[in-house]
Amino acid sequence: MPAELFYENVEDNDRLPNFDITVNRTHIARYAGASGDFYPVHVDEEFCKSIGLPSVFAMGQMHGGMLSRVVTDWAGAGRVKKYKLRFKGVVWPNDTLTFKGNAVKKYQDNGENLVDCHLFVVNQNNQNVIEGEATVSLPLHKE
Amino acid sequence: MINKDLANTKIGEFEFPIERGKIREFANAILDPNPIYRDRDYARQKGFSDVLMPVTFPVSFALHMDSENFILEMSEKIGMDPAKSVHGETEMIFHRPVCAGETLRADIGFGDIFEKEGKRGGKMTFVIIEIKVFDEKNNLAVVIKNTHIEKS
Repeated sequence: MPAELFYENVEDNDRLPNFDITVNRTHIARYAGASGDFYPVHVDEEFCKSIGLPSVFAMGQMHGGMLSRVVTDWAGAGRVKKYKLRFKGVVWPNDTLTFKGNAVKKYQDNGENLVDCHLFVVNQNNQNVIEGEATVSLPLHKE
Repeated sequence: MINKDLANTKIGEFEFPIERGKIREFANAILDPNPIYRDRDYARQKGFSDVLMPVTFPVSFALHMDSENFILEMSEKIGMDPAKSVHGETEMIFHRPVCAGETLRADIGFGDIFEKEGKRGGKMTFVIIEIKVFDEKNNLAVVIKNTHIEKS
């Protein structure tokens, strides 16, 4: 795990850690079980074909959950005050996703040291499938 | 047809125990190797009472209600067509970190329901499902808002 992040060390536009994941049906099945999301469009290939879809597709919350690591590897788990995801595109099995983000603004409010971040999940066609926002509350170095 | 009369109505409440095993399973499913979700001693060193709840773990709360398929039932209840609907947005506000061993209680309901013109024409109907999660002292711990969109 990286060293603890302090508010003083953050600069606007700091880049957050990024990583890639190629999605497969096992990821979707495992997330279905872990989250309890058995909505048929994510787990039932025959149902998908019956409503005109080519295959199952990932629940946005799956890669939306994977995306949280961009924030927590940087700021520390337990520091997140707000986490917002906008689902902009469908993720199919075999899509390769890049998870990334950057700090946007640091400010102090109501005794808290806050940083707003922008988050993105981008597919292999350079399309944003998720645009997210997070706000983290960080400790001060001098505390 | 989406039934707008259900806007801003509470649908139910449920209890949700935060379990260490479920947290590990969830962390595995989002491919996050952080020991804070698996190792109690590590979590305690970091100042938490037990392993920490992952950021998006609360999205699974409602899916563990006494229901075969909660989202499908909610869609049917309000008249959304699953073939034309997408999950547009989700937002979580955390009032404090939550750890394994706690039992949370949630109120779930429909929030606002409203229509907009789509960018490429056609009507889009927005349905907000809101979950307010309280801790054992009845303090608000997490608020979750999910926006579902049906395209005409």
